[in-house]
Amino acid sequence: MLAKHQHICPRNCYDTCSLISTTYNGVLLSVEGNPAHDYTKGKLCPKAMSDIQKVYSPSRIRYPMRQRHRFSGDWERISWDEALEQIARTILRLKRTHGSTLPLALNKYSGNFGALHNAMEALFSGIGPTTRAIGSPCWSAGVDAQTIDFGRFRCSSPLDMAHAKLIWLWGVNPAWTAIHQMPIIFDAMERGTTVVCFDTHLSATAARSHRFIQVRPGTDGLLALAMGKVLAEENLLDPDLPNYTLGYHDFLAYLDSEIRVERAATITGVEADTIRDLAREYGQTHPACIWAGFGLQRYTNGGQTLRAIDALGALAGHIGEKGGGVQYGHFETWKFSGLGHTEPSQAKANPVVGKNPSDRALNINKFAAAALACTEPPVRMLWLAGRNPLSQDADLHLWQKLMNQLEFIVVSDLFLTRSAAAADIFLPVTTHYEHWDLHASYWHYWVGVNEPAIAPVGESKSDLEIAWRVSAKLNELEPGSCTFPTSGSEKETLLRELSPELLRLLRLQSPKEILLQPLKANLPPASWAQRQFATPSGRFEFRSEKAVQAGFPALPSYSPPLSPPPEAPLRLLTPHHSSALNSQSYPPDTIPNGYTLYVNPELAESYGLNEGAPAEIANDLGAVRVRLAFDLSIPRDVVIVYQHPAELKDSCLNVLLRSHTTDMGTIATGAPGLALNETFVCLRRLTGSVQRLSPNP
Amino acid sequence: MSTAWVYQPNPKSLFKGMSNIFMALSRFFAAGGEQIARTLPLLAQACEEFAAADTAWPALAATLSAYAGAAETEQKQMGFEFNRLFVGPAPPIAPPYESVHLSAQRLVMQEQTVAVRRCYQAADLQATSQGAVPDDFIATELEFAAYLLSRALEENSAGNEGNSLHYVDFCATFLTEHPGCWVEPFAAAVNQNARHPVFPAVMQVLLTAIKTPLTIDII
Repeated sequence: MLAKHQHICPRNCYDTCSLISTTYNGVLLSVEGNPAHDYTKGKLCPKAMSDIQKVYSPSRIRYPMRQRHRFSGDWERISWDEALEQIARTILRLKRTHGSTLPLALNKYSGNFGALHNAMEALFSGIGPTTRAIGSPCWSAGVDAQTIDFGRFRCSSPLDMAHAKLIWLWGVNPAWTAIHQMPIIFDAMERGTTVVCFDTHLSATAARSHRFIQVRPGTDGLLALAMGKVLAEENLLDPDLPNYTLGYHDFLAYLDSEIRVERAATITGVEADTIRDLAREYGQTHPACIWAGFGLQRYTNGGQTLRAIDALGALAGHIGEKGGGVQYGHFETWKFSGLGHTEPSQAKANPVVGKNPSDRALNINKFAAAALACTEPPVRMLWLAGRNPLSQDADLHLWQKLMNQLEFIVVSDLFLTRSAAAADIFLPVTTHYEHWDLHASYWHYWVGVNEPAIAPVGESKSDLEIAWRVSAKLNELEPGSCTFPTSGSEKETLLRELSPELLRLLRLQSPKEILLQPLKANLPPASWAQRQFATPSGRFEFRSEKAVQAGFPALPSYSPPLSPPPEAPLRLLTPHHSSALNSQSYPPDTIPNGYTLYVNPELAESYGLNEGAPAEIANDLGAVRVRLAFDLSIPRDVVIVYQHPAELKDSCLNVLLRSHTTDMGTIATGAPGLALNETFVCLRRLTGSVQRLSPNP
Repeated sequence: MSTAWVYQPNPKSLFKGMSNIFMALSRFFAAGGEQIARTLPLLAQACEEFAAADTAWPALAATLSAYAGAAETEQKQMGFEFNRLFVGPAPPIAPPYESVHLSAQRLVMQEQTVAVRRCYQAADLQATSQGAVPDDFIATELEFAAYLLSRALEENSAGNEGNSLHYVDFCATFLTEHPGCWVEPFAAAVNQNARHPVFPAVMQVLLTAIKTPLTIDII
């Protein structure tokens, strides 16, 4: 019998697509985009189109497994009861031994962004104060910047971009990473809108824009400040600024005294005349929208970069205008009840983190170092869920040390990731075609239910089911040892996740109405239209006391990114690929054999390397083999590897990554982000013996 | 239903012996590497009991018996190897599902799976794990073959030759159209990659069983 089911793509992605699956007698046949969803519009990206391969991959793990010795590859299949018994007994023993539940650590992030996946946090909260990974590897600095400037993290509906006369795509590549925005942009272009793309290299989006502005990595904030200075010099400031902003005189004074357009041109690589032209166009065109991507804040100055761009938008009067603004992301629809564990203030501040106030919070981006440093009591057990730190994190040498030192490691996942290879116990989880869930987007305003279309594959279970069962086993062995529920209904649980505020936003009388179809929140299409901000002053804050309290400059200001050391002169950038998301690859069984390093041909020539040549990139942390490919648009001091989980077949790219953190992140997400783009390497030719090369004079 | 064939000599012994071997093979794959200490002797015993009826089996039975008596540590290693070959968590060397070997995308739950399910339905059966475990899991296919032969034996013993012939024909057709289409590449993958000799031995039993004629073609 044919049946249709509704789903929401749970990946950490702008688009959070509404999906319709078709099953025949319980077998998943097809997945399509929902045509009734005004953002998905019936279309899917290559990642979602590979979902059936993911669900039915023969590589997917179907049973709980136990590894005899960590990293040995000697696995035995065990029953769920055996797995739960071992997990629960270990938890209780560690609790008795240390007189505390802090030796238990949870490191979970965005493998699946469904609200019911917060069950893992809730389970750990039910056990007691535990050690938690907090923060975000992705967007923390930018979220803080917007929270400081606007008082609240929100953006306009992405459909609102259609009204812009000028669109600046800044450090974002929607042609690959948010494909549903492209038709909106193309439609605007057809109606006469000018699209300018700012990036470090000619991305797929830049290639489809009217104009490409190549910016030296990490200098975007200075470029924004220089354009702000031009606006001031050429009297293009919003005359209404005194009525809705705070500190603009101070900011203009800063621009006047500290920023020189010619100097900015030298540093950013954008010619002074171009800076002036861009500023004039931005100041004179209304509405004008900036979409600031996550890439440009993955630097040690990332928060300041976003503050500078926000300030530019405000100076020109684009904040609050229909089709304008500075768009980055939002938390407005992440109003979940928190499975009874999350403090409401935390749930509002950060949908990702559901931490207990008594928890021991470790920055997710420095987790291994921080966990190794914990002594009173030490971290003894680690549960990884929706995470693959041995592929994705920095400081892999510290991760390896931590993994070797821990007493017990549990990993719940779909496939044997690099991190799962460290597990003592592996628990197989369901895909979004096998469980109920509730999803919101951090880009558009839709909220929707994910319903199961097929039975769980093998013996896999949802995170919520796993959490119930662990709690049940804990309570069986030691009554009262975990306050998380021991059983329940996924569907009923998701309905309870709709908080009164979310029900109001969705204009629902009863939670069950959400089961019928995804719904769009009742939010103004253009954010800050009334120019009433959520800052302490109620104004857009150029000068922020909140920033000062958090240890940042009061004003948006420029600080340079890190400079490469002489022994590693090339900056390594690792943008997302169109068919991979972090360590998730689509189709899942088509992992490339090794990494491709994209370089400027002149750089390769200076090293005496040809296209396709094997080579090695290295720094003081490690080395990774690559094969060279040419891209004329890449600066000579930059090299690019698009993210792909090639580490499953070769060495891991992240061995090169040190945990430099972003300047901001503590206010909204709890910890600074990862300054991923501040990674430096040298290039080596791979011959019979590896040799380090210097460019030819 | 074709009738262009007749029983092999001594059909009861053949049906019983082959049913037992298919069932023992099914248990070997279904119970997993952790149960090898229990399932391998049963497979050896099934081969041994059938050894009298067919000259192909004594050597196989002897080989399996030798491994069935392995020490506990070796049994453990066999279990790990079983999981490496057939289960995971690393991508298994020889996924034990028909559709992985025959479908264009090499996935589970494909048209082959549904076709096998239709065979079960034609015999008024449904796999107890339908939906969670693909119907074309090798253990389920082999158990189905064992079931058909046990029914053939029952009907034959009850003197219902027509019904017995129906089950034999059904079994022979099923073996040809399903396990017979994929166990050779499956066994080849095992034989090329196995790190313990028990697995090539089991593959030999499997291939011999699948290829054992249940009837004599008279055309």
